[in-house]
Amino acid sequence: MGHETLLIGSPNSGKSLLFNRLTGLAQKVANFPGITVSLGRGALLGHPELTLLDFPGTYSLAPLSGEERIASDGFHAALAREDLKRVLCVIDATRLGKSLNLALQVLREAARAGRDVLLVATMIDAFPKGRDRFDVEGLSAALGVPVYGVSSKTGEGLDALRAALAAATPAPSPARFHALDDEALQDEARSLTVRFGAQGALLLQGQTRLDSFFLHSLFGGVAFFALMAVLFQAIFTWAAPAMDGIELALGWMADVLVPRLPHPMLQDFAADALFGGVGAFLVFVPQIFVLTIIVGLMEDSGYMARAAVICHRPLRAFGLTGKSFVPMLSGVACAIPGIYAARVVESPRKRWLTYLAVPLMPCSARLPVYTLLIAAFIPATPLLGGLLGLQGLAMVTLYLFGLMVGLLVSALVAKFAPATEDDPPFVLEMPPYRLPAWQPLLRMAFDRSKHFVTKAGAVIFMVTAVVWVLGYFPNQGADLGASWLGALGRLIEPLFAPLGLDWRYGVAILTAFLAREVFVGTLGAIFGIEGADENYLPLVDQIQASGLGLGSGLALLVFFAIALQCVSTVALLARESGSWRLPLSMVVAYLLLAYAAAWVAFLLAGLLL
Amino acid sequence: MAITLWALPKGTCSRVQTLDGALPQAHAQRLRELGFFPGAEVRCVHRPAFGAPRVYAVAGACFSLEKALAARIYTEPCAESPHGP
Repeated sequence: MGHETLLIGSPNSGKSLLFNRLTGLAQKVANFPGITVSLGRGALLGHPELTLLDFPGTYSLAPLSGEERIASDGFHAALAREDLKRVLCVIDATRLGKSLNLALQVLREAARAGRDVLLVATMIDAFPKGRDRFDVEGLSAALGVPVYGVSSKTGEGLDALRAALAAATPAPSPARFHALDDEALQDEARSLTVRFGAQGALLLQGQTRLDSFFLHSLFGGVAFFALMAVLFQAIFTWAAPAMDGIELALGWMADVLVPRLPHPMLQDFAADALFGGVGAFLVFVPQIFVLTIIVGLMEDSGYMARAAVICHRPLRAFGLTGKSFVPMLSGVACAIPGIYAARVVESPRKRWLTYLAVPLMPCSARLPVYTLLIAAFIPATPLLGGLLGLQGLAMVTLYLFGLMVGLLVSALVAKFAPATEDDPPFVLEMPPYRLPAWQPLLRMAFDRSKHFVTKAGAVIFMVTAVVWVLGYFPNQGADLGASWLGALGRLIEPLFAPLGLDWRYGVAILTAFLAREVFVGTLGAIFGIEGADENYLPLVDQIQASGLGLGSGLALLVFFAIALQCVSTVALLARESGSWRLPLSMVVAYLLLAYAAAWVAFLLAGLLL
Repeated sequence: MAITLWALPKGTCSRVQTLDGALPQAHAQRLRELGFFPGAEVRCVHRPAFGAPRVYAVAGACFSLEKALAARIYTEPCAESPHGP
C-alpha cells in the first residue's frame, strides 16, 4: 500500500493553510488565486511514514492556466502511482459552488482509477453553531464519500482528519461516479450547492464593504498608489538601520580580524575579497527582507487580487493583463518568483509578454547597484521639507524607468503578435480579506534572505576570489594596472570607453552578467587591492575618489536598469518557456538596448549637465 | 428581456440565461464551473470606473470578469431572493 496522500482543491480553498496545519511546515500561504506554484511535500504530523503532497489550486481538471495544468497533470500521474494511498480533496464550505465541481471531477477520475478519496470541508468556523452549522454528515451521505469538516483557523476537526488519514485501509471512490458525464456532474454540483451551501453570502458582506473602498474609482486608485509609495519608502527607511548596523559590524570585524591573520597575503585577501567584496553585498539583505514581507502582506491579505483588477485596463494597453501585475510586482523583489508567478496568466501569449516584462522590473539584485551608484553620484539634498530626498527621488525614477521599459517592450512585441479569439480572457476570484499570519510571513522573508545570502553569496564569493587573484598577481597587489586583471581590463576597455567608463568598471560589468549584485563585490575587491594596506573603506567613498563622471554614473544606472544580467533568470526562463530561444534572444536584445540607452544617457548628461 | 452581465447595474440580482455561443468552448466550460451556468443567480457587486473588470457574486464567491466575457453572458431579471447569491 502507498504512503502518499495528495492534496487537491480549488484556489483560495484554504488548501495550503490546511497542508501547513497537517504537516507543521510553512508552505507559503497567500491569498491570491494560484500562489502554490510548485509542489509542496511534507510528513503528516505524528505520522512520519505518511507523506502529504500539495498541488497548486485549480478550478477544474480541464486546465486553462499553466499552473492548473501542473495540478491536473500531476493529479493524473499520481493516480497511476503505486505510492499513492489516497486523495484528499479540499472543498471550501463557504463557497461550495466552485469547490464541488472540482470535487466531483476528482471523485470521477479516482473512481475510474480505483482510488480512495476523502473530502475535507474547510472554513467551517465561518458558519454559525447549532441548527445552521455546515451539514458535514448530510453532504457525506449525499455523496457516499467520507467528508471531514475542519477549520485551519481554530484547529477544529484537525485531529479527526489526521486520524482518518493515518487509518490503514483506503476504499475506492464509489463506482457511481465512474460514468458521470460533464453535464450530469455540473447538475449534481449545482443541486448539492443549493442543498448544503451557506444561506446567504456568509463572507461576502465584509468583503463587499472593503471592496467598495479598494475598488472605488477614486479611492481605490489613491489607495493603490499610497500602498506602492509605502512599499518603496519602507525598503529604504525601514531597512536603513539594519543596513547601517551590518556595515558597522563588518567594519568592526574587519578591523579586529584582519590584523590577526598569519600572512600578509591572507590579510589582503580577507580585507579585499571577503570584507570588501562579499561584505559590500551583505549590506543589502535587510532590503530584501523588508520587500519580501511587504509583497507577502499584500498577497496574504487578499489585496493583491484587487490590485490586479485595478491594473487590468492600464496593463491591457501594453498587451498584458491584470494578472501580470503579480509576476511584475514579485519581479520587484526578484525575477525568479516573478517568472514562476507568471504561471497564473492563462493566456500563453500574455504569459510570454509577461516574461519579457518581468526581468526589466527593478529587482532587488539591482538595488545594491542602484544604492551604491546613487550614494556616489546624487547628493542627499532634502526635498519637500525632508519628506523625500533627492536620492530617494532618483531611486523612484529608476524604478519607474524599469517599469516603463518593461511595459513598452511588451507593447511593442504585442503589436507584432496580435491576440487570437481563443486567448483566455480575464477572470479572477476576489478572495475574502484576511489578517495576514505573521509567523509564516516572517519565516518566508527569512528563508528568502537566507537563500539570497547562501546562493548569491556563494557566487559572489567565488567571483570576487577569482577577481582578487587576477588583480593581486603577479605583483602581490603592488600595482593593479600591471596585474592580470589590468591586462584583461585594457583588452575590453574600448567597449566601455564610449560610456566614459574605465577598465575597472568594465570588468565589474562583465562579472555582473552572472548576477547583478556581483558588480558591487567585484568593484569592492578591485578598489580593495588598489587601496593597498588601508583599512576597510566604504565603497562609495572609493568610487567618488576614482574620478568617475556623473554622465558615466548615469550610463551605468541605465545599463543596469535594462540589461538581463542574471544566469538564474535565463535558466528559469528556458525551463518555463520550454526553449532557450526566448531567454537567449532576450539577453542579446536587452544588452543591445541597455548599451544604446546608456550611451544616450551619457551623451545627454554631457550636453545638459 | 435579456441583458448582458456587463450591463447589469451595481447591486442588481439577475439570473443567467445563456452563454454566448461564440464563446470558445473552454471558456464557456470554465464559466459554468465557476458557477455562471444557466439558471444561476448572479449579482453585480462592483463596477469600477474606466472599464476595469467588474465583480460579480455567484454561489457565495466573487469573481471579476472583463468585458469580453461579461458582455457574452445573457441574463434575465429575477425576483430578489432574501439571501442573494
